Amino acid sequence: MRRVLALVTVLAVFLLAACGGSKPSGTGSQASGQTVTIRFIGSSNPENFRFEELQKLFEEQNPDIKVEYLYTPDRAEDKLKAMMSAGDAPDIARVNDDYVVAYAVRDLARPMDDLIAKYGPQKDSSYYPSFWDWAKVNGKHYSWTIGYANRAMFVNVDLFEQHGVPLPPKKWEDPSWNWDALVATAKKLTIDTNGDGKPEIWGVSIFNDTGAEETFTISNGGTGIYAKGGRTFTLGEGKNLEAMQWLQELATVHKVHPLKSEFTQQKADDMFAAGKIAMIFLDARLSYTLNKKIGDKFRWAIRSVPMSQKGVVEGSLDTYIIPKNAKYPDQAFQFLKFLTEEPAQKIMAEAGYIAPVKHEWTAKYFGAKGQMPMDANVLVEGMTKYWVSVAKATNVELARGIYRRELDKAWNGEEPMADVLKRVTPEVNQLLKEFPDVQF
Amino acid sequence: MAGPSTSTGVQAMTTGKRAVRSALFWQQAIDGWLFAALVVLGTILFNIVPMLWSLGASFTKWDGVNPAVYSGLENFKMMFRDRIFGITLKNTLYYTVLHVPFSLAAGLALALLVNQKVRFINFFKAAYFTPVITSTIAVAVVFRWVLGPQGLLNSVLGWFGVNGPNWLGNGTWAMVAVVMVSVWQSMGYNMVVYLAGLQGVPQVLYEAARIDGADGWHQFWRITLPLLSPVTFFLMILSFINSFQVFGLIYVLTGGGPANATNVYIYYLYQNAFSFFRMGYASAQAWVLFLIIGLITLIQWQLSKRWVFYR
Repeated sequence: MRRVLALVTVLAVFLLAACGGSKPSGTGSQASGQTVTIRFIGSSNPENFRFEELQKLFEEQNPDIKVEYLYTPDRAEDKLKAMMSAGDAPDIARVNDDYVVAYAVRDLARPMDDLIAKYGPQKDSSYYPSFWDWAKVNGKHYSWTIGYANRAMFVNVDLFEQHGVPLPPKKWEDPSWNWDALVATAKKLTIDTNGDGKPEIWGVSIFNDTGAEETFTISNGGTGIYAKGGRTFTLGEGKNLEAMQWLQELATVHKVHPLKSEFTQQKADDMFAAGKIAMIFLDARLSYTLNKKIGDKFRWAIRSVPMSQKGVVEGSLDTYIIPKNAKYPDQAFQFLKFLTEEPAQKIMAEAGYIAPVKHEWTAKYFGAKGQMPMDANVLVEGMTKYWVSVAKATNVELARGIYRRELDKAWNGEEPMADVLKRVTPEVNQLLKEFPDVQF
Repeated sequence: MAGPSTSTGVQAMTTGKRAVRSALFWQQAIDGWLFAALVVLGTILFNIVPMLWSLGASFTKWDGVNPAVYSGLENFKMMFRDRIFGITLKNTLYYTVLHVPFSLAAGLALALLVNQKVRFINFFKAAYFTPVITSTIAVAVVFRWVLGPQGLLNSVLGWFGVNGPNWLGNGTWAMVAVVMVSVWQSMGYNMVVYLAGLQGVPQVLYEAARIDGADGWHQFWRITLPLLSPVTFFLMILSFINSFQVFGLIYVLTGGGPANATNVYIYYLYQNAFSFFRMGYASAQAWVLFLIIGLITLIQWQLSKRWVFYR
């Protein structure tokens, strides 16, 4: 009797375990006329890009395709890799534009050339060139860009006016708005309100945004983070190093910029929203959340990035891959294509989430609904004329895991920038040697 | 009527009993195994099999998705060349050396404190134990605020004229800050175990000591502490093992920074496995950690003969 009871118990538990657990929602039948659900993973708050509105529109136009967003605010790509490892890859994944090459060279992203040929759109000059050219690795198209996220200087207009400091120019490559002018302006706006020797308001924040590495080095006449071809780490060389040292000196010499350690409790954009930073170099995608955080507390505007030798600003691409083993790549691409057409582009641009993929839409829609700060056209101009893309290399995430951690020592004034970069360069270069045959 | 001879009869009876005992033995054994089958099968499926899989993966170059490629001892050799690996091992040892003694001392102090018959003592026992059952992530999120440059701790220190450091942003203090949080979270558990140990100390020993003129300190040093040595040994083993696997606090509080100051073994292992496409290397790291913990535990067992006192 006891044996029977034990046997039944064991069998029952294993049967329950075998039958239990939900199947992934993307396993709907693929038969004609049947509805499929595509899963789309990303780290952006769905409110920021009005996902519900987009989902409703797309599903109305495509009744046999449902879209499910797997919102993963932190470490979305780690979750993506775990899902792929488990054989449960989503159909679309938003990835950091810097890391697309890593997925492509490892054959983890599905090339899209056949899908582009099947569903369009047709390549023409109404799109920005990078829309077509940027995502190619070994001649194949590995990601789909739905928009651009440019950077600019965001300024607290009220703070400038309170202290009688003229606002920086809107015009890009204005020779009067150079690095010396930035320092001078920041000094006037770095204020110790309670006399304890520590500023409560900082003049500027720049290096907390990693886009500064590419922007300021190229503006200074350097090559940026990597040499062309992505095989050599060049941040510690020549003009690049000069620019990085200048950034460090904002905190350690001029003392107009918080040390990196100041951002442990509050992020830079939160400090700006709280009125503790007068000028900040920031990704425009944060405009939506800044609008909510700042509200009516103060007026804020966009200004061009100060230049050294030329006007440059690094912009990110909001880009998506179709993982290698996605169940519904065709349907996935149809959704991605929808996101790069009107009205989806209009919806996202008016929300301030992205700058659209076509020239005319950028001018027409970006910031049109008053969600943006003042002078949004400055951002548009930066995007169209002074934009540089993120540097491409194979093992970017691993490289950053090494050099960016070490850069903290420089940003905290513990070590000279030159020493830090000299130390990490050989290690990073070793990582970049992997996948020698890749072309991009 | 002729019957079996006595010796044959005894032999037959013994053989019969052996046969019956043997049948009963096997019956009970099968029953026992059937009831334990669930746990045993679960352990095999969810512990042993993944461990063996990971052992196999440690000898491969594997990104976690594509088929693994055999690479021999390359992953293990890479550890000797990997500067970050060395840093994480050193940081983990540093964390362990700080965390273990402080968490044991704090647990013992709390146990002595609550081992009294006063009103509402059970409330205090529960209060001290609450951090143990609180989610590590929740604790870390709150302490990010407490330990900020203008956080609660520095505000309190400011009342006494002390200018607190940037606990989580300063390379010197970041690990100390992490240990403070981990000690706060774990001392309740140690308190409970020590409390149980204290109940086992015979009161007659204290009475005899008092008669002999021993004061409170001598009673603690000569009676309480030696008789608690088995408990201390048990908690020390557990604390060492847990310390080597610290992850959640690091993930939320510091992300391994600033500048790798709190980058620990398991955090780096996680990054290799899930961020850097180096699942094979991460598997090798896991097995090396297993060996390190095993070695340290073995050393502790050997050394325990010198200081652990069993009644």
